[in-house]
Amino acid sequence: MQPEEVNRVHECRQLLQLIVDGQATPEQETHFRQHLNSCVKCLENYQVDNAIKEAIQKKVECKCAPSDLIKEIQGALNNLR
Amino acid sequence: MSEATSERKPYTEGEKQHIFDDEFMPHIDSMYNFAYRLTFDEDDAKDLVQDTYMKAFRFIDSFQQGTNAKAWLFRILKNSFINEYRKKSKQPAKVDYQEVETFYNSDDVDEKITTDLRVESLQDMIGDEVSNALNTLAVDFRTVIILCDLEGFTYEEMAKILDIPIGTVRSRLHRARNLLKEKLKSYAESMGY
Repeated sequence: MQPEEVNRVHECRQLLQLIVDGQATPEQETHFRQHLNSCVKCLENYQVDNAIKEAIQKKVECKCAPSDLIKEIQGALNNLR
Repeated sequence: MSEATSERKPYTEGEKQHIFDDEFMPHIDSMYNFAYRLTFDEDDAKDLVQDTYMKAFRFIDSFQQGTNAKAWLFRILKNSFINEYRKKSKQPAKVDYQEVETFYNSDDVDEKITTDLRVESLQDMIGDEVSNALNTLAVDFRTVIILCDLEGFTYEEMAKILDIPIGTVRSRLHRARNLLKEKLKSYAESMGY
């Protein structure tokens, strides 16, 4: 890759992370969306990264606290006082 | 747990109870989930959460009512895990960042890993496969994914919870995702994608 291309790819990579994590500024978001219209590679990366985040959010089961834990905490708190 | 308390009177017993019940306890499921994904053991996770809540009560005067209780509690839990549970945990030793950084912090590697992974294969994966991939990550990488993707913390909140600069949060998250992509890619290949 040419140095210019390397810089562009690096910039896109950083921007992509901010976008996927919902932490880009509105200006960065607009800039990136415009860029996606002309860059198939970034569009693919964006779709894959989004799909991974979504898979973690939707498919990883949340382990809820066992019901006795709350009682145990309340009991330990009473002893602490 | 070192926020300024000098300008505020200590909480009354009633205020402490109110903060504990209304601001701390609603996060117990997230806390337990985080503790379980750190320890992989239900009893250790319970002990870790209970220990965290006891510390939270003991240091409640350093918590500013109405601020981010969840991030405050997660920080205590993470510190307790490092100081007390990590030693006896069955987890592998801390990541050799130098080794991982050399490989995973290059744009070429990004390019290669992502190219081989397809959105359809990710959508077809079942929860166990995604969970297993996440669970095999070293604890420091697993932690940033849990905090960001499962718990929805911002980079700034993660930096405070983990006591590291925001830049380190971002690079660690990036490397964690590359490692995760590699694991998921193996699953995808085994499914015939």
